[in-house]
Amino acid sequence: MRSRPNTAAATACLLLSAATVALLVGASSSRAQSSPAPDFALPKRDSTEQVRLADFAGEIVVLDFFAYWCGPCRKASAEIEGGIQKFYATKQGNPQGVPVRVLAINIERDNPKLTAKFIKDAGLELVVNDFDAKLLEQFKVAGTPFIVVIDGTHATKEKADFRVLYQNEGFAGTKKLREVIDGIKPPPKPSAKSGRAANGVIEAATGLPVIHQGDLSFEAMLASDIQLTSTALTYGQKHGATEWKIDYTHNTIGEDYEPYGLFDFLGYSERINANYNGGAAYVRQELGRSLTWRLAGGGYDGFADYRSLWLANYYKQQFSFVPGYETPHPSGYNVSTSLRWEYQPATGFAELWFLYAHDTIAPGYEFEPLLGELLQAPDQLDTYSPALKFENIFTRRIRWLNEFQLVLTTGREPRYAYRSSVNVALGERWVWRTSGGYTFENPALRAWYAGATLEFEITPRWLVNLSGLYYHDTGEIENSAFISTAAPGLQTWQVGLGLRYVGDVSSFSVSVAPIIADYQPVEVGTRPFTNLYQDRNWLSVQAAWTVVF
Amino acid sequence: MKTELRLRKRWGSILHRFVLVSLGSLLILSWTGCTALRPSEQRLVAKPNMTFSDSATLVYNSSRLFPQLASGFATAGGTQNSGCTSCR
Repeated sequence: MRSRPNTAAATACLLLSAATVALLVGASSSRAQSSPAPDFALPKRDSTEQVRLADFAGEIVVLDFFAYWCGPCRKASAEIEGGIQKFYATKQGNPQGVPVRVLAINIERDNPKLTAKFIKDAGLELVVNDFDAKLLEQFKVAGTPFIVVIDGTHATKEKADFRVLYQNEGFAGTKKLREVIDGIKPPPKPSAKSGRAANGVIEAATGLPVIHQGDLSFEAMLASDIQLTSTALTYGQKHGATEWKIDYTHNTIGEDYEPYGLFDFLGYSERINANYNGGAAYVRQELGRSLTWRLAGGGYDGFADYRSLWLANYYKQQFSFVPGYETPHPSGYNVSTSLRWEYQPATGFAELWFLYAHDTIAPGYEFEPLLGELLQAPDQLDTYSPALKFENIFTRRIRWLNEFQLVLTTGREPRYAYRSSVNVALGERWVWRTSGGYTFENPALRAWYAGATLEFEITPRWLVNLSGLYYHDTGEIENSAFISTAAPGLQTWQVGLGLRYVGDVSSFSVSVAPIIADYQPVEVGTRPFTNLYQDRNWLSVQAAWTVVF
Repeated sequence: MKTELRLRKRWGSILHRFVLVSLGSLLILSWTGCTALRPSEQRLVAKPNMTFSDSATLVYNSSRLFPQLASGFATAGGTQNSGCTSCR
């Protein structure tokens, strides 16, 4: 029964997807344009009693298809239960007095305990089972959450006239559902309720809930002579179709600077430290049912990496007494925007991304003996970078991410990068994650990496993982006349062990990984930086804590 | 004038490559992108550790510090963490 990729079918599917999008975007709540609802009789959860469509004659029924493992369903079901079921129950129906009921439909047969927990958390009242999604598939959709509004106001026990007025794959908030529900009028009857006025003084039961998420993460990379730390704090909110997030990052660099004596007779050993502070904010807005727009901006102050700090210290020791030398103050800012298109509901995403960044960096210096002047290299860099990303569910066990990026930076050749990640569910409790990438920049930079993580679910809450990563590059490209600061070719190996806890509100993870870094020998022009580009053994430590409430 | 022509040619070449890559990726998209799964078949791929999340607890490799060592690993940023101005 599993679907397989097929080029012709894929093309047709793309066209169909576009047509479906157009149809759904233009979905009307008009009864005249609606379609008949498929009849059903589904067993109530934990009982043999059947719930039939005919039971909702004279009412409006909202079908909420869910599965416990579906992340967006958690939010959708909770909001629909509060914002539709309880809301209209409190108001005794829609403005025309038509009763409104929510029928939550579970499509997952396995792990009933997790389904029970989902139902409890979302506060669902009326739940039926549609194992294997047989009813769901009659609506010709591919994923959950899936929401349907059915008008049963013209139906009677004798006449099954149920019409689908609204259906949506994904959840766009209760506002749209209420618009549809509020517009439904019962057929004229002498006994029809008089509507909103009969409801008395009742305030809206609920609005859209706000979801808060906070992340606190810490990373460290430690070698005998260099210590790096990074601490990041993120807070964000999601309210309906809008999401925003702000983050703050504080990095520290500590180095035992050691000049290479034979080639650096002005240099001296010293301990150098630097801080980096950065902030960023972003907003994400859903535009309709399949498009999401994202805008981000940020800035930083301080050395972004340990190598630039080492090199800046070298120039300070060499030239700080020479006219023309300036103490560096690295900083920068960036803006980015992206448009994400869910071209295949729940299984296919494409994202076009664009970044602009401006960096003021610590410049390099060269002394020009003929002119007797200190020449400073450019310290203002502009970067423009478009990228294209595709995320696809390849089979029911494989999720695949492909990224293509172009980077254009002042004074440099264009850099092209391709990255790919494949996640494979090996079984119920085993996940295999692989990632790889290739970068090239003319005339000589080539870099690639490959890594994998195997994660095992000890219990639904606790997971342990083993990971490995190999990185290789051919060295940075140098265009200076005398002293070259370019890193020689590098390869690194790392193997790590991690532990994760996944809770309802808070989750945390810790991991540790030794890293072996092996540089190729430095060229003659790079000899002053021999101690910077020496082989090192690092220890990488990561810890993170996430809270969602 | 010659410089302007050279610049135009260079930009044309860069854009040409990017368009080629994009078209190639569209082919991949059309091949893999429309593998519609039945809802009941999505359970495994919907697990949190099967997704590409930016949540801090779902990061599997050092994303902030490791690029300082391995500059080809960097995915964004004005200088790709290149430690110098004269090297590329």
